[in-house]
Amino acid sequence: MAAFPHYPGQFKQAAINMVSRGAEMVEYWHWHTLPYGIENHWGGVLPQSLVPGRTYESFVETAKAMDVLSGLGKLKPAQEVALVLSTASRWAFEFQGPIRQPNGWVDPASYEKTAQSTYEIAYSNGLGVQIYGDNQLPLNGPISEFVAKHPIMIVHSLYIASDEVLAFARRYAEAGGHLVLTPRTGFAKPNNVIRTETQPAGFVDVVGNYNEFSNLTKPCSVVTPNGKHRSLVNTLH
Amino acid sequence: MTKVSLGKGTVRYLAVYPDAELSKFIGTELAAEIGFKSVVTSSSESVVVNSAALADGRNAHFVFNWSWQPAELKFAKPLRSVIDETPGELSAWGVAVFTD
Repeated sequence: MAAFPHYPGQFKQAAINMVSRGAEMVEYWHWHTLPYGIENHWGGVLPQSLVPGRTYESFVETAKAMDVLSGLGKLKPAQEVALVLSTASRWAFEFQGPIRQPNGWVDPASYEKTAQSTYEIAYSNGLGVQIYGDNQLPLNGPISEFVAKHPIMIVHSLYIASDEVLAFARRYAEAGGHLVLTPRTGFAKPNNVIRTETQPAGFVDVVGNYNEFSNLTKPCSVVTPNGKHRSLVNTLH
Repeated sequence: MTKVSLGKGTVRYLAVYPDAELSKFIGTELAAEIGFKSVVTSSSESVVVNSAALADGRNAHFVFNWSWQPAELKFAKPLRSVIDETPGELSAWGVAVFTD
C-alpha cells in the first residue's frame, strides 16, 4: 500500500462525500502513527512525535464540518438510477472478461473496470445511484413502485442472468422505466451454461441481435441513435 | 448503441463499453428523459453534485470540486447555505452544502 500526503481540503471533501451518500458516521484510522511494530509509516492524525501539524488541522476542519452537517439529521441519498451488478458475472469475467491486458491475457478486473465506465453514466450527470446485486431485485414485487423509485435502471453485463432477472428487466421497461443493458447481458444461465437462444437473450425482438463479438485493440467510434459519432472505450485499460 | 421504445418505457442496448465522453452523453439523454435537472451546476467538468432528501422533505445538495482549479457555480433557484466558504464558486478541492 502506498501512503500519499493528503492535499488541502481532501479529508473534508472525502468525509462529506460519504455523508452525502448516506454515511451516518465517518471514522479516521488512526489517532497517531505508531513508533513501533507495523503500520509505522505516515498515516496518523498525529505523527510519532504527537506534535499537531497539517494533518491535525485538516482533521479539525473536517470534524467541524461534520458537526455542522449533523444538524441536517438523517439523509436519504438520491437514487434515480438502479445499477444492477452480478457477483457470478464478475467471477466469470475474471476468467473470460472483455478487456485484455497488453500481453493478450484477460484483465481479471474487467468487471470492475467496465462497471466503472457504466457508473459514469449516472455520476457525470449528478444522478444518484443505488447499487443492487441481481439477487436483491424485488422480482415479485410491484414493478410500478420500482420504476417510481428508480426511473433509470442500468443492468451491467449480467453475463450470467436468470430468466427471472431478464423478465424483470423487461417488465421494468414495459412499465415505463428507462432500461440500459450493457454488453453480454443474458449470455449464460445461472449455472454458467451458455444459452442457445439468439443474443441478447430476452430482448432480441426489442433491440435486434448479434452473434459475433470481440474486444478492441484501439478505440473506435460508435453511432448513436441520432446519427452522431462518439468515441469509446479508449480509457478502459 | 440501440435505443427503442418498449411499452411505456425505453430500452438501450450498448454493444460496447462507453468511455467517459460517451457515458456522459448517454447520461445527459437519460436525465432529460426523466426530467432530472440539477439545482446546482457548473461549467467546470470537475464539479459533481450529490443530492439527498432530509427528513422534512427538503433536499440537501452537496457540491464538490475535484480539481486544483476553482470553479464557478450556478443556481437554478435560491438555496440556503449550510457550508459555503466561497459564495458563488468553489475553491480547489472545495466543497459546499446547501438545502432547499
